[in-house]
Amino acid sequence: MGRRGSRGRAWACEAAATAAVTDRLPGTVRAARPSSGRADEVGRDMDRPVLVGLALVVLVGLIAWGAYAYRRRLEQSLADWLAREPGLAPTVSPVGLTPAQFADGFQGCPRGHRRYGLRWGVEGPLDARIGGLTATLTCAAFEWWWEERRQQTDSKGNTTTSYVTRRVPVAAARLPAAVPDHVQIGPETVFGRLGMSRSDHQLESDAFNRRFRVLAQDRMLTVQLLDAGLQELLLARYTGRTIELLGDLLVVAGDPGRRDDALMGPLRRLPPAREDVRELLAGIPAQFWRAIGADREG
Amino acid sequence: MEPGLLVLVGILVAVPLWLVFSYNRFISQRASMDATWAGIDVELQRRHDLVPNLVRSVQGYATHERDLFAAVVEARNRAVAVASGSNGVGDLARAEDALTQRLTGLLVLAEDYPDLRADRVFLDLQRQLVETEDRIAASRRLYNLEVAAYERRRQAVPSNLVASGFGFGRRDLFEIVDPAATHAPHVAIERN
Repeated sequence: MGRRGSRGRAWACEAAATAAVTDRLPGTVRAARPSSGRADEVGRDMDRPVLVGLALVVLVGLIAWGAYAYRRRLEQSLADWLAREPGLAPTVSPVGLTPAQFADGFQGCPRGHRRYGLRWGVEGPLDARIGGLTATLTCAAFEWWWEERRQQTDSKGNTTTSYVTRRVPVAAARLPAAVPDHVQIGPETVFGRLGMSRSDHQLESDAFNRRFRVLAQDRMLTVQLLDAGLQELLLARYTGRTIELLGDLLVVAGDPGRRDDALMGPLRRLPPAREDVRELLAGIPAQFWRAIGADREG
Repeated sequence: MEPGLLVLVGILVAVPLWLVFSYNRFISQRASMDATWAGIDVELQRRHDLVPNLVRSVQGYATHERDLFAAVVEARNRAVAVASGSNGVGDLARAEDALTQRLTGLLVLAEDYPDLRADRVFLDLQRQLVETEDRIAASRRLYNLEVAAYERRRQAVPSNLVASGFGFGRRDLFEIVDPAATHAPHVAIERN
């Protein structure tokens, strides 16, 4: 109590002294103050929003700086990758397609509910074994992103809408010949598991049928594509991913499950995605390439 | 209405509906198997038609291999006879396997004649043969998939009651040596 009283007296003396000095300064207009104690309170009330504002500015600045620094590091990582693999170059239209064309044509690149797009696109030559022989194809890798709507309703019935950004690494390659169908191999749905999807092509392996949904108009083509070897490969390495063949394009979307530790962030999943295209092409049986006339292409 | 009566009415409605559905599904499966088998038949016919031309193109280079040519033609004629007759799937499979074996001998023979390997007619016929055999292999797999699904339903309870009641009989798988795997040359692909 005594200490608080002496501190109060000290504040009062200081305020009085400040007022006296202010009175002596030329051109200073002295504001009418009810008393020295209340003036102190008003000063503190004025300082609080300023301090909060300053803290916010600092916080936003720090976040912006962090985001900028992270982006710079990602750009440097991308540059390292491009330097490492000759022929690889950044692209905004992988294999010649715009984001809208990817969203329209491929199940592995969903539109989402609001915005979508691709980033960190790179493209370059890829040596692959096709039908037993080596061929050089154009292969791109990028990160596909889209926004999904989330709606929550509270106990009062108020609905809140928010958007969640989803990302998936995608690899796309131009094939030596066009596939005369749209072949989609993706994760099996609940209806498919229950045997209620007639459009899902069934193959010899029950394990494959349980995990993958195969859609195409031409059943003969999917049988030629999905021989025992490719079914085994897909089961071992591509469960949960989407593989699509449309025209002369092969698009593989999904997490490759491996990371390139020399890179950072989302870029770490892109080189394995490109490598998987190579592995997948090697696993496609020669009869499929013959069926689509790939052996007759120049 | 009494709950027991409701259940009875439900059963009386559901059972005929299930019966119709199951019967129609068998009919659909049978039609699908027949269509796939027709696909195999067409491709086998195409293979049979290719054999004489292939033999003729090889004969021009390897004149002294008469026994082999005769064996190929005989195997081909036998396969044609079995395919056109009312033989079972097993007989046809054996005849086709014998033809595949003879054709393999013919194609291996071509390896010893560089001029033959450069002959465009022979190469074209060889390509057609391999493409036809690819389609036979795919059609065979499709047919066997259809048969497997049909047999599963035919033997499983309760659809086996419909199968036995309406005479949906057993279907055999078509098991042959994959000729395409034996005869396929490497596919030459170069693209930048």
